[in-house]
Amino acid sequence: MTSSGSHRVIAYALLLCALASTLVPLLPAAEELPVRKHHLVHGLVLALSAAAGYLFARERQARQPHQELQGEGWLYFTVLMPVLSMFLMWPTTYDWLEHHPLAHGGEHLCFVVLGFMATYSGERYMPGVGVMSGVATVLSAIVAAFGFGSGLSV
Amino acid sequence: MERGPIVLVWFLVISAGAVALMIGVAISTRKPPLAQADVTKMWYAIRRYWLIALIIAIVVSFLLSLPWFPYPVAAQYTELQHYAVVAQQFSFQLPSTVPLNKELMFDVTSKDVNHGFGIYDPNDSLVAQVQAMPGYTNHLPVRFVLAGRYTIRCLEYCGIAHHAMQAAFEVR
Amino acid sequence: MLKDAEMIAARRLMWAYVVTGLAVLGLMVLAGVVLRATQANWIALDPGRFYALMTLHGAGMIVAMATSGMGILWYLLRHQTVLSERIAWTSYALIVAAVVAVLVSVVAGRFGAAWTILYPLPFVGATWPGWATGAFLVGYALFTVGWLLWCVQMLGGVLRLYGGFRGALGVDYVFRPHVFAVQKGRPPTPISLAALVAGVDGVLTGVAGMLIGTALLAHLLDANVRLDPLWAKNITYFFGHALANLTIYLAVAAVYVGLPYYTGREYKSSPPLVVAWWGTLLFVAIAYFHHLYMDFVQVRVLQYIGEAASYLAALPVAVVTVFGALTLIYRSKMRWTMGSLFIFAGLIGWIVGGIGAVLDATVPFNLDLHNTLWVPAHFHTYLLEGVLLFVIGWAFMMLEKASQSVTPVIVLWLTGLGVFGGGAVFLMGFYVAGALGVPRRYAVEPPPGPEIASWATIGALLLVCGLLVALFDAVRLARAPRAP
Repeated sequence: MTSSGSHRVIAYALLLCALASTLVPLLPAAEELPVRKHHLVHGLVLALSAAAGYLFARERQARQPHQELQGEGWLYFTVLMPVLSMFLMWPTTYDWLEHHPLAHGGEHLCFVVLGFMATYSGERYMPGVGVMSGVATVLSAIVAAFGFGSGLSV
Repeated sequence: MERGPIVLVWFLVISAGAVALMIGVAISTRKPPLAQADVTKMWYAIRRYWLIALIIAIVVSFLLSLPWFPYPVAAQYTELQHYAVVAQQFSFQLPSTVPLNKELMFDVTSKDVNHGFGIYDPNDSLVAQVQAMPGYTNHLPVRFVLAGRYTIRCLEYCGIAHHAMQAAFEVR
Repeated sequence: MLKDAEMIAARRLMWAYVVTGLAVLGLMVLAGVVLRATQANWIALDPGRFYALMTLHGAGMIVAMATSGMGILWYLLRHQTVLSERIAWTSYALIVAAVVAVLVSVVAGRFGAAWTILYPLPFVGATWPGWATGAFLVGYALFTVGWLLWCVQMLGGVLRLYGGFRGALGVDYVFRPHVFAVQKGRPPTPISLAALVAGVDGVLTGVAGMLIGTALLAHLLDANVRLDPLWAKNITYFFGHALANLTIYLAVAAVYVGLPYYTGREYKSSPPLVVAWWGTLLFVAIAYFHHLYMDFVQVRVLQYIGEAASYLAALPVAVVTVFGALTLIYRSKMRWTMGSLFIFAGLIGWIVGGIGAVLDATVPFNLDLHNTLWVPAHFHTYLLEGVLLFVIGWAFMMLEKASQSVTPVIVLWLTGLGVFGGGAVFLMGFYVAGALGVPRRYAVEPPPGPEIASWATIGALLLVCGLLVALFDAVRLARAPRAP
């Protein structure tokens, strides 16, 4: 298998794992998580989908290399994806979501899309940009875990 | 000892030296010019020593500062007498007197927003401070060596009467 | 080389950013004079208005400095690589919208939580309506998105130039110089390094700003959303410190171009220059811990990292950037004009501000200086007598290049006396008061605050006079016959 081919396999595997998270809330045994863990789970979903997005973009770059900055739309996507993901981290919605599995699964699906697009669109704009975007997106979820609706709140 | 004025003197001395150097360089442009290669050779020979000197200064300053870090060690929590301080918009609840020449610990918190617990001695010198945060308690070890009335001022912007948020206690 | 039409378009965009930044700055300088005059008891301003004006002054100054620097660095990188004007204009529009939102919040709503909006402050004991908080946060969000678009565009441009991070960082240039030379590699230029640092640290800063902004907005809309105050403080100061610090590194691009222009010497890339920028990339991000020295509940090791990083942040500046600048000036044929004078004076402001900053970043000294007027002393030195002077120097350099006219010596002296002399008196007011323990952000200061503030206000007025003289000369240069 070529390097590009193995990238694609790993990318699909990561994406599938991320997509699997949309089904977890539907499981009968799905437990309610404290806010901090919930943020971290979202961080994991974002990390998996961002990694998949990066690998897909890299595989495309290998097939159709470009050295120039691509369409501006990609830049807007890569900037807005992390921003939108933060609005999904609204901690007081978590309780409601945990009692509404379909909506919860939908929320996870949004994280998959946002994480994937953060890196994919950035890498399509210019290789390297997606990495920054993806790292920033995942970091924001991890950092949110330690104070956005969690920790010693007042 | 008041550290603020001493820091100011250091600041003025070092800044004056730096400004003098800069002005010297500016005045040098009135002299016959040199080729860039010659200037570069001369200055870059100096730069190595400048870098070493700065690194030494940084390491020495860092190490010298360590014993004066104000953060309490484990033993202080149990050995020292504690005094509770609660800040709120726009007043402090604190003890009316504390002992002289005895190390003690203030347990400082806030009921609402971030405040600053700034302790000024009878000469109006700032002698110690710590943040007062809601949901957290900051422990400030202090030893008062001057008897008299101490003023507390809020040192973290907290709202419309931030400047008027004051209190006092006696040290005797 | 840019074609004529491209050059005109790039220049138009650059001037839009720089002039807008300077215009906002001008208003903020006036606001600052009013604040200092109030503290001197020259003006009676009720605390509500004082703190609203203080909030506007802080936010407006940072936005003004950032906007000017963004324009300069974009323009310079545009000469090295393809950048989209449309994206840059979109960033500009978002920043202008942000300024409007903040003005509405402060002027109409009297929002007065300070530009740091330290949670839970905007929501507890607020003497302003909730919509004013919302408008301010929307303003911040608009600025942050505009900032992020600009940062990502700059990052993309640099990565395009050098084929990725490895080339943009100059890794092979530093660690494998012989191989690099044999392969005829291109070392990163000073401008591209400034753009890379702005891009990378700017993205991290912007995302942090969006995170705390989203959290605050969430709390505004739903009071059940609770934030950890220590967490909020860390994010706020990471965002604020890094953004303010980055404005210096945006504007330093003016030095990289201005000094070669005025001295006739070259500002070349070198491995030490590249390594210095690596240091800046790291230290800009981690020095922010020095804002939490007086939070004893902060994770202890971060306090030590904060002091170390704050000290180390001075190394690239002292050993490479400023040192390199001095080698360009020393015994050169430096032409002393408004442009070169401002750039040179900006270097002095940067150094002096740095000395004040390093002293404040020493934990035992911070015990006496934290949240006193020493804090605004050092950042006003950096921003007013550092960044601003680089920006003004840049503007004059562009005007002088296009004009046949020369600034009369008397105008140079008047400007110098006002901006540098008056500026020094103004700043000394902060340093002396801070050293004596006068708190910052006080509408009414305890003695000797008001007396010192009187002298500071005189200095500020002289500074304003100097800036006005410079402004008149700039207009004169702009209208003078063009150089052939």
